[in-house]
Amino acid sequence: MTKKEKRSIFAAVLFAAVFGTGVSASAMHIMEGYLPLGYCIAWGVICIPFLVAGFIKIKKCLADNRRNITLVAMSGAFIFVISSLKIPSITGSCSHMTGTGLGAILFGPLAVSILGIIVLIFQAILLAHGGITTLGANTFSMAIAGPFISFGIYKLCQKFKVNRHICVFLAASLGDLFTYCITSIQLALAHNQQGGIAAATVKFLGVFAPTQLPLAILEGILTVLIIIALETYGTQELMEIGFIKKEAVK
Amino acid sequence: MNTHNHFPIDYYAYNSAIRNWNTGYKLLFATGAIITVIAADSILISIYTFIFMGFINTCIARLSPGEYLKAVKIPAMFILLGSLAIGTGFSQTAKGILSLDIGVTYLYFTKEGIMQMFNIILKALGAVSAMYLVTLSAPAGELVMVLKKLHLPGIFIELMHLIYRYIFILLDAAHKMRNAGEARLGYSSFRTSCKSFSMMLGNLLIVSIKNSRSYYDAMEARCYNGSLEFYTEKKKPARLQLLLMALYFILAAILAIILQLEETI
Repeated sequence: MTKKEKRSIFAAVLFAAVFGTGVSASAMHIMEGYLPLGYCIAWGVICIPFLVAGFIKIKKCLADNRRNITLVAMSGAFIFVISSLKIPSITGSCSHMTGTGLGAILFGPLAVSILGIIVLIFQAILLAHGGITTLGANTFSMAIAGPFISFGIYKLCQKFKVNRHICVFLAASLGDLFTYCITSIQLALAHNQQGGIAAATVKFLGVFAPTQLPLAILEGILTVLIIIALETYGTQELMEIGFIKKEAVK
Repeated sequence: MNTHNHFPIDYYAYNSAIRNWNTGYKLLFATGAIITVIAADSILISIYTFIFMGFINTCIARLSPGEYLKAVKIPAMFILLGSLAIGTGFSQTAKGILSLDIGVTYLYFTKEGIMQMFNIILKALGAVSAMYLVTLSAPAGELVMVLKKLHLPGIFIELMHLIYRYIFILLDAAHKMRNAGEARLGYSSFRTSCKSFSMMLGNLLIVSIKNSRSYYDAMEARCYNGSLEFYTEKKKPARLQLLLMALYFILAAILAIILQLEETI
């Protein structure tokens, strides 16, 4: 890292530290019981086309080479692990990354939609984050909307020849923010008896902002640092998953 | 190190006294109860479900009340914040039973808002306790087998089995790397922990991609030819268990009818 990069990371971390007032926050999984049945089903149905597309993508990837199955499964497990490890924080509070932004950048958003729903099922089973009936809504916000935005931003930035690390930072943190906005809207659509959908959205955004904003920034920083580590030590592996083109290295 | 540290819920599931109950039955019971709670949308039925499921989880599944409460407390943060947003309202003028001036607008609480807040908190608690009936007593592998019976695509099921296995491999590796980092003062300050943490994750991905090749070889050496097969025990739900499920739904129906009658009177 150059001195300038170091300084910018330090400034960003400081910013996150000031805002991170240390409230315990898991990623925003809508809990069991929070959505009426109609919404549970509707969000599930919205997810289906994405999941089918993701499934076809993975199936094709496996048809190309059957050996890819362990690689795909490992990627899924990796997304789960980054979302379940406690990230560094100043006050010792317990927060987690979503990990889907990094997943989308590395493996593509379609594959992440399938891996994401599996990860969400395991999060419900093993960590009690999210639930059975809210699986559809959570899948849409975390495994579809977030990754697609992350991937879109990443590609867009690349097109405009923005520095790769800035691309990654923007993709990961904005993807995280987008997930948080979508979740707020999902909650607001279901619970807006006092003052309409817009006011309800603002309320949900406001209530989760103190935990989610610093988390998004921190997620961006950590994702950049992970990519730096990967670029330094794992060029071979990055080529294997198609993140770096072979010509680019030469 | 033991895996108990990774996921207490998984640990409880393997040690549950009702682990040998039919998994499909547990899943059906839990999902049915969750749907009942959400569809009924009444405080009474939520409390009833919370107590009923609490009884099964502690008395029949033999989970100690302390451990059970700890599990129930996991989603507390979300429930608290989410309900706060539901219970309050914005207005230009002070209204309701309590209003706070926050500069641009008033934040107010009304009686209905607070009732709604309690309703949703109890609904969440009822539904979560019902979910725990299955997650605290059925290991993930067995749940995946139920999904297989529901005819989900084979690749999906296979991926779930592999991911479940790999999660533990990766977490063990991550745990060791974290220890190594901590022993070298890698987590002494916030800045260094950020750096060590992301270096650990980067390294974890590299190691896992490397290993995934050899895992395939290992599977192939054990005659893997495109489909993973697992033995499952055939466990028929006992009559008493079916009675328990029937009891829950009958009592819930009676409660619902009583509530309906009261409303009409």
